[in-house]
Formats: sequence, C-alpha cells, structure tokens
Amino acid sequence: MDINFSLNFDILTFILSLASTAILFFVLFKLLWNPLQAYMDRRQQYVVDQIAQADTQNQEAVATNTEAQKRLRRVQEEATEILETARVRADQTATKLAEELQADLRKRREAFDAQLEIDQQLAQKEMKDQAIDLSVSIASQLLQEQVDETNTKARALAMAEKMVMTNER
Amino acid sequence: MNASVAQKYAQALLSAVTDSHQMKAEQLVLIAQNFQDQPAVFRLLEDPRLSTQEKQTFIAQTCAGADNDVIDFIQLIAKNQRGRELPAIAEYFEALVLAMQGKQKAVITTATALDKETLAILIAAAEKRTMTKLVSKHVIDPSIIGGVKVSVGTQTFDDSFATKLQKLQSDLQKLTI
Repeated sequence: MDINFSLNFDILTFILSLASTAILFFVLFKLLWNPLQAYMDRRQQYVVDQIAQADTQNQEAVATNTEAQKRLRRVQEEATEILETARVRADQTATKLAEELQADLRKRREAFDAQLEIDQQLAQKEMKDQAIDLSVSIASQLLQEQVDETNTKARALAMAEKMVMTNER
Repeated sequence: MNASVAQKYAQALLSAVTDSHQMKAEQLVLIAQNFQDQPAVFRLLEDPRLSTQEKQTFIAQTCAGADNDVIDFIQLIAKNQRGRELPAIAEYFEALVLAMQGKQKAVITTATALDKETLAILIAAAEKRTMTKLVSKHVIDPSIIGGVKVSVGTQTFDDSFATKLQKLQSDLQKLTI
C-alpha cells in the first residue's frame, strides 16, 4: 500500500484538490452560510422566545398559585366565619329554646296553680254547701218538732197585724 | 201546665155559662182536685185504646150529680186531650167567677191546723191589705214547716219557715269563706 501511495502522489493533483476543496468551501460558504446563520438566529430567537414564554407562564403560574393561595385563605376564613356564625346561631337557638322551655314550664305551673286554686275553691264551696244543707236540714227538723197549733196561731196573728200595720203606713 | 191554654178554656166556659157560676166553679174545682188526687184518671182519659164515647161515659159516671154544664165541659176537655189541664182551668175559672163578683181567692197555707177565728182575722187583714173582698181557702201543708203563707192572686205574703230557711240557705251560700 505504501508503495502504491508513494508512487501515485502528485503534487498538482494535490494542489488542485486543495483548490477545489477551497472553492467548494467558498461556494458552500457563499450559498449556505447566510441561510444557515439566519436559521440559527431564528432558532436562537425561538429558544429565547420559548424561554421568555416559559418565564411568563412561570410567572403566571406563580401568580395563579398566589391567587389560589389567597382564595384558599379566603375560603378558609369564610369557612371559619360560617362556622363561627353557625356556632353563635346555635348558641342563640339553644338559649331561645331554653327560654321558651322555661316560659312553657312557667305557664304550665301557673295553669296548674290556677287549676289547683279553682279545685280548692270548688272543694271549699262543696264543703260549705254540704255544711249549710246539713245545718238547714237540722234546723228544719228542729222547727218541725217545735211547731204546733199555738205557734201557728201566734205567727198568723203576727202576720195579720203586720199586714194591717203596713197598710196603715 | 200551659197557662195560656188554661186561661182560654176558663174564659170560654165563663162565656158559655149563664147561671150558677159560683156553684159550677166549686164543682169544677172539686172534681179537678179529685182527678189530681188520682193520676190514674188522667192516664185513663189519655188512653188511646178507649174510644171517645167510653171516655165520655166514664166522665159522666165519675161526675154524676154535678151540673150538666160542668160535665159537658170536662167531656170537651177530655175530647181535646187537655185532661191534665183541668186543675189549672178550674183554678182560672174560679178566679174569673170571683172577679165577676168583685172578689179574689186567698189561699192560706199553714203547717198545722188553724182555728176559724184566727183565719177570719187573717183574712180581714189580707182584705184590708189588698183592698179586695176575699174568698179564703185554707190548706195544711207540712212542707212549709211552720209559719203562714197567704196568696192572693199574684201577691204572696210569705212568713213560712221553709221560705225563711231557703233564704237563709241562699244567703249562707253567697257568703265568702
């Protein structure tokens, strides 16, 4: 191989090859460099834009997160407030119910006392009526035993006198 | 007792009778008292199983000896199913007859008997009090317990023990313990 290489080397060919390569590079540079550069610039710009967009989105995400945190805190505050309000209302309702129960008990006790008073009065009246009936019955029997014709005559004469006296007045 | 019906019958009888009012009134009162003493008579007069003729015959036989006007009147009352009104009618009729004579009936009620002299004194006093000539009727009613009760028309002079006890009972019941 080395023998073949050394034997075939031609400086002119070598120079021509270098020249053609240089020309090729030149042409390629002239033809491709600018588009490639433009492409690279666009690509860089795209990446920069993407990064900027990512930053913006990141900022937005942070802002959204902050907003969400705020909302969460607000919701928690509202929930706490609602719970507090419910507790206050429950306390008020319990107090009101207790008061109503007390009032109802008071009313029932008053009604019971009133009924007791009525029952006592009725019992007293019944006892009084029975005592009166018994007294009148005894008085009636005693009078019946004592009444006779003499007594009736005396009463009749007294009545006659009373009639005349009243008329004369 | 239906006072209105009794008054109408009594007035009708008064307008129908032409003579012997006093005697007829006394008979009517007597028969009414007898009927009242025996409630079976009223039941018999109201019995639907007896015909009107049978009732008429029964009245004629029961009231035999009474004036025909009186018997006819009682038969009419029985026919009109007003037998139970007879005592009230008789009472009204008697009062109307007495009123015709310018008199009124006085019923003196006592628990025991009362002698004639005392009754006369009492009637004289009642006449003076009411300024009316009175025809008295003495009733012994032990339920008044004692004392005297004089009724003249709508007026009543009540000195009976029963009424006094009732008043006492009423007054005591009104007392508050």
